[in-house]
Amino acid sequence: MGNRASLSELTEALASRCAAGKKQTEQFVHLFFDVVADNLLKDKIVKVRGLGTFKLVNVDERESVNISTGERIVIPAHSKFTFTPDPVIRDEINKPFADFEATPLNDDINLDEINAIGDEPDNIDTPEQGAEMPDEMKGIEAPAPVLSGIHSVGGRAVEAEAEEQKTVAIGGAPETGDEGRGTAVSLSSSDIEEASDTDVSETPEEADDEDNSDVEEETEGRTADIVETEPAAKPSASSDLSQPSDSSEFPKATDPSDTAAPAEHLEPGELPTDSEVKPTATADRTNHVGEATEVDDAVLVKRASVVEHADIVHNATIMSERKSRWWVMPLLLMCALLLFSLGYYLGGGDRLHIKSLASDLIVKAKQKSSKADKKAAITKEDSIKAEEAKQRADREAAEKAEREAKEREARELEEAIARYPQVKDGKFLIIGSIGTDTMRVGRTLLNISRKYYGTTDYVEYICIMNGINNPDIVPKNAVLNLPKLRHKE
Amino acid sequence: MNNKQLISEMSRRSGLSVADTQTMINGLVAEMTEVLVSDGAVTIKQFGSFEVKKKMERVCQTPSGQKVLVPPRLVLSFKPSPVMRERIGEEEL
Repeated sequence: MGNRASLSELTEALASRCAAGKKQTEQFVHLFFDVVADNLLKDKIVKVRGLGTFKLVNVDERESVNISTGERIVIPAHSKFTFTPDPVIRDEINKPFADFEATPLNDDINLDEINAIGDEPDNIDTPEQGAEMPDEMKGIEAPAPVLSGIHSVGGRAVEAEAEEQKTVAIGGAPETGDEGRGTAVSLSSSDIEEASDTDVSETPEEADDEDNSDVEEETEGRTADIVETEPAAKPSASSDLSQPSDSSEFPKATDPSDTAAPAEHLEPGELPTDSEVKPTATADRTNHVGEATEVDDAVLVKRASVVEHADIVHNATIMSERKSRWWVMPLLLMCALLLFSLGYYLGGGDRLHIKSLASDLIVKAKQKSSKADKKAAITKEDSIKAEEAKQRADREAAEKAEREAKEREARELEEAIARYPQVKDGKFLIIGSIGTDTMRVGRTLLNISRKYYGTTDYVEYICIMNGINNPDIVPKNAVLNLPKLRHKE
Repeated sequence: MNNKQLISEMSRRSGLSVADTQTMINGLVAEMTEVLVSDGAVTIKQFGSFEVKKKMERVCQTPSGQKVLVPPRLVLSFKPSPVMRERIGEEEL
């Protein structure tokens, strides 16, 4: 768009288009703009079909302040020139961008992001992520405690489970062991669902601590321990029950199995002692030991055998416990990871969606623009080709017409030259007449020459034309034929 | 002054027939359009200059508060020449 077409270029193009003479066309174009300007001054408005409307708008006098000096100045009333392009030319000029349409934007699209993306299409994600980082951080942080909660709860649950298994094993019933495990698993799963309650995580811990301390104690009757663990666990459970927290599920889940295990699977002989112990058990451990020693000798023997049996089983359970711990831990970790990723997806899902939408939009816009560019390029090429062909045809026609005109002109010229007398060795040829004039009194040939040709040099031609031999003697009122001259070249 | 009046005035002042004047004016306008589309500018010394300008895309707000992305476009602008300005008495700002 660098080169500005001037009037002469415009005239040339128009002349070839309309197959008219160059001079005539130029005059016409000049006249056209003169007429437009004149009528604009007269009517204040000129409409040209295909081009647009020129208008003069009156601007009233107004006051203004000079920004640099703060001086108040009055802008006098004046008229302002306005031009509104015709829809035809407007559309024609806007053709390269005609495919674009105004698109309404959603409120939640951040325009700064779009601009940034527009500037750097490669880094689409970075500003967006940076902008959303605080939100995502929250989202990430939220599941983190859950994970740790689950982890700790899971670990403790496993321990608790192992303890229960132990007690159950001492009872000597594999079914209850399964039951215990089942409750422990249900406990951990319920904990996971509730996304970590500190109360819940604490309760097994307390139970664990007490259980561990009990296990560490080397008492002669292991069953006493077992009996004792139940009441020890119970109060904590009941205290938790009294609290309005979600942990109520834990004691509920553990209660039946814990109470059921000794009740069902301890030997019948022990049952009375257990029942005796139970009401008082909550006080302290020494009591139990004392009570346990009070039991009959027979029972003691039985108990000893039970203890032996229990030791073997205990060793076995420790092994199995380790084994179970070995595979449960990774499983739980995987569960936690799954949950975490699920939570992240749900939490950040809609944001991701928006992001993809935005990028979709951008990609679409790019495609559209590239398509439009291609289309424009194609149409432009076509139009250029057509234009060239047309121009060539026009040029050929013009050349032909010109040649013919030249030939005709030359012929006519020759005839004219032959017809009129010519000045020998003169610069000009007489090729016709431009009119006549009468020699009145006081007129001279010099005068006439100056009047018609702007110079006195053409007296000679006038004389030749009219057969005057002596330029000083011209008859009165003689009608002079004024020659049309042409330069010899 | 509308197109008809312009043509009749042109015809009167140029001595051409009305039909010829019309074809000439149409040709002139078509030629100007072509030149503007290809080169982007036409300057007529005594009158002014026509120029194609690119308007960048922008975001505007409708009266209802809806934000709209207005696409880029090419517009034809006209700037009167100093001679013309003097003639119409427009102040040079």
